[in-house]
Amino acid sequence: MKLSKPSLITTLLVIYILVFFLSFSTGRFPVTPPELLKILFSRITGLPHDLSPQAEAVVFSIRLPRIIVSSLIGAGLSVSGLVFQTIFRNPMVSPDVLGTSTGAGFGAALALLFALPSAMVSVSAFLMGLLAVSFVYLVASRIPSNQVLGLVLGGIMISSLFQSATSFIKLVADPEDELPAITYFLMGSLSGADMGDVRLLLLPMAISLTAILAISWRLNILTLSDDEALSLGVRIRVIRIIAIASASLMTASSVAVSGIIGWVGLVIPHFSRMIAGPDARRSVPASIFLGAAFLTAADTVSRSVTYSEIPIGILTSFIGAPFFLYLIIREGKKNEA
Amino acid sequence: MKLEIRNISFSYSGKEILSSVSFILNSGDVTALLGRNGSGKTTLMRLILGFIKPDSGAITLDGRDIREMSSKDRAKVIAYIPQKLSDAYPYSVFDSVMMGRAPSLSVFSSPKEKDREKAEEALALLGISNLKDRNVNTLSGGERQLVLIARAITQEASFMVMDEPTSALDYANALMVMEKTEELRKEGYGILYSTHNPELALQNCSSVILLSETHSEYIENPGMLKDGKKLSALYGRNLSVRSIDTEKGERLVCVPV
Repeated sequence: MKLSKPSLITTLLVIYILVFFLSFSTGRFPVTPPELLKILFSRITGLPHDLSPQAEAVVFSIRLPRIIVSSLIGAGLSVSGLVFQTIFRNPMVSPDVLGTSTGAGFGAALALLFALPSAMVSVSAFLMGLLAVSFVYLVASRIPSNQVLGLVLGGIMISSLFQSATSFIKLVADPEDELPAITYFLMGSLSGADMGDVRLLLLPMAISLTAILAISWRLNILTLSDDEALSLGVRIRVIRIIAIASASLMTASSVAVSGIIGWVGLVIPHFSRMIAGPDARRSVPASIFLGAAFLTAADTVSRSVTYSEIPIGILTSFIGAPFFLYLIIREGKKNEA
Repeated sequence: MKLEIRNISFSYSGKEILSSVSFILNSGDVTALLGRNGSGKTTLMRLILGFIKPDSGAITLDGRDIREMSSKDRAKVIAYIPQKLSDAYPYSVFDSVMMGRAPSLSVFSSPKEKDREKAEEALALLGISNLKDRNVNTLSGGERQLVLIARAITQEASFMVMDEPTSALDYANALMVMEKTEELRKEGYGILYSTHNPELALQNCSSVILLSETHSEYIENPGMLKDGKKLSALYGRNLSVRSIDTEKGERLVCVPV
């Protein structure tokens, strides 16, 4: 059954809202949906409520910021994956494959080494992420006969280069405080997400997502050959720059807040296209809601299954890698038929 | 409208690919571009589309140099029909055809009702409205070619540049695409297409351009190729052009001798 345009996106939105409430009611201090609505209502209207102050503290200092952060990062990583897949005309690339995540990770580690403020961690992550993807793009453009190969191999090379640089930073970092901070950070975790992180993410995500939604129809045209896009009067370079900058900004600000959370940017966009079709006007909103729901659900699991939290980056790999293999095999069979 | 190619030359890494090519394409003309591999057919088309710049000479549209036009304005006048439809992303036929509206829309907008109507009209004109919701990857080669032509019509360009429109098609589909091309000519489109099949040029065009590594020649009327000499020289083989009377009038065919 194929759902029509509004109903598919609406369904995904409803799924996200369910995950949102489910996440609040999961954990050592569950907050049920009616309690949550009461607390939020009282905060907005200023009216008193009959719930404990602990409940309010859990909602505003712990769970709400964490859920907003996981939603924003989930949406951001998914859409940046979708954008990279679209402009490189290759459904197998993602912020991880293209080295953006590793580059951003290096940038963040560098900033942590010098104990820079968190805003500078983001800026440094963004610049290095952008540097990494530019390198890869440059490598691929030198191999016009096989750009996909250039992208993938270039990505692996640049990733390993930045990984070595990050290792070097770890080597020189103070083993007492900087090293554990950097190591745990790079593992990818949302524990300790607070309103400061929300503020850090909100603006870059809002700008990037708006830009991507605005150019989503033109992104479709970039999946044609360059000559075709040119003949349709599309300024390829302008659209590509907007797209790459937005995707890198989303990836880098995610990495700056949560460390490297892999696979989301590969699996979710793929899955979004499977259910919403190739048109970016549909697959972008689908990626936003699916990505937000997926990462929030994964984070809920990561903080509640064991007593000490599992870093979410480990969890997304465990879920993402097998799922992606399933996707590849499924697609392969479909093409054969 | 008049598309004039005047004395253009182009070289790449020191090698001259085109030298002093001149011809005129008017609305309602179909011009075939014949030449062997590497004779510069694709380069000539890329020059006309404004993708690359000639070393000398000019390409003008009703007297206006196309290099002075923005890529959007150019796209409103000249459409490109590639050899094959890109199929990395399996869009629906309708979405593919709608991409032809790109030159008429600003960067941050997407197609409106009026644009959808244009796409519908193009599909109807080519008689493929029934394919509208099909995934392009499920179409036959000929249908895909019609989708590309529908996209060019949606673009509302007066001229169409077709890169070997029939090379990937079986015989029936190739004939069908050529018949559609003839219908478009009657609608007033100016069409330039390249082909490796000289018979197409003999049967389906108003003029021919012969392109070889050393020179180019504009043939005003395909009837002027009847003696076979020019085609033999172009392909380096002894070719003979024969006339066959059919119910639809005289047909020219090309045979090796």
